[in-house]
Amino acid sequence: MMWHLLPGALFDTLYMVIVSTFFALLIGLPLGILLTLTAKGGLKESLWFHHILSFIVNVGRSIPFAILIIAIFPFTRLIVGTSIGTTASIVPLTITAAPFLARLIEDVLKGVSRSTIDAAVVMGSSTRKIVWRLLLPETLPAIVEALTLTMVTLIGYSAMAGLVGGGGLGKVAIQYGYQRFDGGVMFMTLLVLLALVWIVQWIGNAISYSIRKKRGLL
Amino acid sequence: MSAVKTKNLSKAFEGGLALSGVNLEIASGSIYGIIGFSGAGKSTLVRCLVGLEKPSSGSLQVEGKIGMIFQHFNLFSHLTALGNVLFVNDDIEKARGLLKLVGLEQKESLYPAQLSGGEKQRVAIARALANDPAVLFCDEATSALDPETTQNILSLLTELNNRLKLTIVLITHEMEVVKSICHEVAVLDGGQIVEQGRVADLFANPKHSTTRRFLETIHHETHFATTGELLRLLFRSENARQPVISRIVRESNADINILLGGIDVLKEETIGTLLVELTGTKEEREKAHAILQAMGVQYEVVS
Repeated sequence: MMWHLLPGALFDTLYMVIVSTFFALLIGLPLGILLTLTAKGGLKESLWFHHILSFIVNVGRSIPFAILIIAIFPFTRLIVGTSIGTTASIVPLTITAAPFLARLIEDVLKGVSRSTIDAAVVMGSSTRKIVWRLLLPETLPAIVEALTLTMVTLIGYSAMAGLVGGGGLGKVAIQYGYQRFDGGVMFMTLLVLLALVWIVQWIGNAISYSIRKKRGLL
Repeated sequence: MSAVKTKNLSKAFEGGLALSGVNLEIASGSIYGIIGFSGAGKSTLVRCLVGLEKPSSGSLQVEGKIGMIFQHFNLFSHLTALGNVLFVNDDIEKARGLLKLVGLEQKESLYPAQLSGGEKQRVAIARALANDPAVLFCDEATSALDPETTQNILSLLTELNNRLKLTIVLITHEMEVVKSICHEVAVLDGGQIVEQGRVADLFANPKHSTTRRFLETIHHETHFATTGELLRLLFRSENARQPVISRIVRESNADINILLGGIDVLKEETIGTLLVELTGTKEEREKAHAILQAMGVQYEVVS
């Protein structure tokens, strides 16, 4: 059995998931904000812009991940210098997660009622101030939940990266568990993945719960 | 000087005119009520006045900065009471001063969800005052509150009006609110102002049917099956001390049956109303009318 492989593989998985969640947030958050602001009735209503952006996000969301990895090989090579390996898989993971997160963030921000925003508008707040000091902090617990969901989804996808030479738990499961018929390793990898998902979900829930609790919303 | 002035203000939406030709002139330092039933155009009017909605035509001037409070408070739930005031102006001394002014200095670190409805509206008032507005717009600000809390908030508004010389524009569907704190009022119906003037004059002498309907909401004097003549007598400060009824009875021989009486304590005047049934011969009744006129009592024949 290849137990000694698990800690390194766990580290690789965490590395892929955390880094790609970070980049997904970097891209998805502004996209989500733009989608919200330009939507009908939004602070910067611009329907054509909204439709174009919405279309791009939908395209990004509808490409199956396994196909996306292969389809963007050239782009990945351009950015990280190689199209295979752990670091390389961060590119497709980010690209698949960013539009997903953008939609989640859009949904979350839509939850702030127009009349609450009006209150800030009447008092002369700029759009920038409304976004940074009202919309985002107001919805922080839900944003944390959206990020948690993104991470959990990425843990699943990161296992697929093992198919194209990416490291992590997926690689161990495929190479040792599947190709070498080592049921024990396969089972252990599954358990570690399950535990990982469970821990991420638990931490996310705990953070969002504590924020809501502090605000007296529970 | 007027704090708010509109000229022929109109607002069209798809499917119709929400406001048409609204002329308003609100004196600086007054408490002005805008009353209307649902769908009368109140919301559209106030949204135009505060700049949330662009009028389709007409002109609009508002003096100085604007503060606004809402029916559902619209506080920011991620900020404490103090944080909500600081959102507008980050001068912490000022924010604390405003919370003290609205009587919430003990609760500055509580979040909106931890406050009662009345307290939330107080925080909203403090927040609205943080950028030193000249005019405070109140959009159905007491409609979500119980009667006692409503009175507390209305007294607070009156106090702010006195102390800060703040112009207050109250949008409401409750005559009670207009009655207790407004100097002047405009009645809105179908996107138009159908009647406006001093509150006491509207109470004493309502001209438009919508105004009458609003008065009925607080007077409850609608259905009396009577055989005689139904009169509504009005007692304003100048004739409040005269023995009107006994003189009529004594001198005209007509009978008077008092059906309903009430006193409206308005902000600037107290108006007494008496609904009476007058019976007797034609001559007796004419005599009664003559006495009322001679004594200078305002009255109207209801039926």
